[in-house]
Amino acid sequence: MTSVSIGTAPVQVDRPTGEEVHEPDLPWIVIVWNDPINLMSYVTWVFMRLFGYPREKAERLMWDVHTKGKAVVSSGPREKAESDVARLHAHGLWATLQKDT
Amino acid sequence: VSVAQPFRKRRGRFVVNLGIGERELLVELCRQSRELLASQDPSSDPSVARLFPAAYKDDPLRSLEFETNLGDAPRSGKLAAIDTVERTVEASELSEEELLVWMGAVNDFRLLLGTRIDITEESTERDYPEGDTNYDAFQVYVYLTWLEDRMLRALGEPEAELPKGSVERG
Repeated sequence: MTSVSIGTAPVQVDRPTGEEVHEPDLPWIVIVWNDPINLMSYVTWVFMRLFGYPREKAERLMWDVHTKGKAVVSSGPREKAESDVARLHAHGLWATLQKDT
Repeated sequence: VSVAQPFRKRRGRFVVNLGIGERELLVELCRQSRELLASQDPSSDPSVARLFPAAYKDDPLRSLEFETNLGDAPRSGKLAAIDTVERTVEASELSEEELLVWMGAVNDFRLLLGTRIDITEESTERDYPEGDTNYDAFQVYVYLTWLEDRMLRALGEPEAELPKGSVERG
């Protein structure tokens, strides 16, 4: 997996400069969303594989995805959250990141 | 469909027990998936788009930045997996690494096919009766679901593959 580096994109996006002043205080969270195709056993397996979670925790997260529609599966600095999202996408899961609120 | 287990662990490797028809189907799915990945802009095909979701919900600018940073890696990774399946499709035995690549490819086939035929949580065979234009596609989808389940059973508990330099708390 290619590591994600922020700020080197040829497409520069103008952002309000005040927007990210408090970024260090708020972790980014990675959310996996329910989808009708991925197998429950596969989703559990991916959580164990990518995050090293024990089966019990991976299954609990999978059930949250399945019954509540989504689950927070990891958190951390933005760069780490983007890397987790890229790894989840590579395994076919529908994942997004956002700042914790 | 083989009656015997399609994948069986033996001395750290996996014995593959698939019929000619099953292997031919995998070759055909490799060919079609490569064609889709090579020719379709994700934005023009929902099934291809399903393989490359937006990283930020409701934030197309940041999602675009994320995609730009990753470059062609996501697509080339999936194409490399297809190459591996094609190269090893006649093998009687696979390494664990190869079986993992096969499982990723089969999951991608299910995502492409399932999106194409509008699979939902409630979908059953009654939604794809004989004579339906998607009957064959649904039969293949069901087969791939079975195959992936057997791969997971054969592989057993996964070893964590944490990214370099990361510390995760269980």
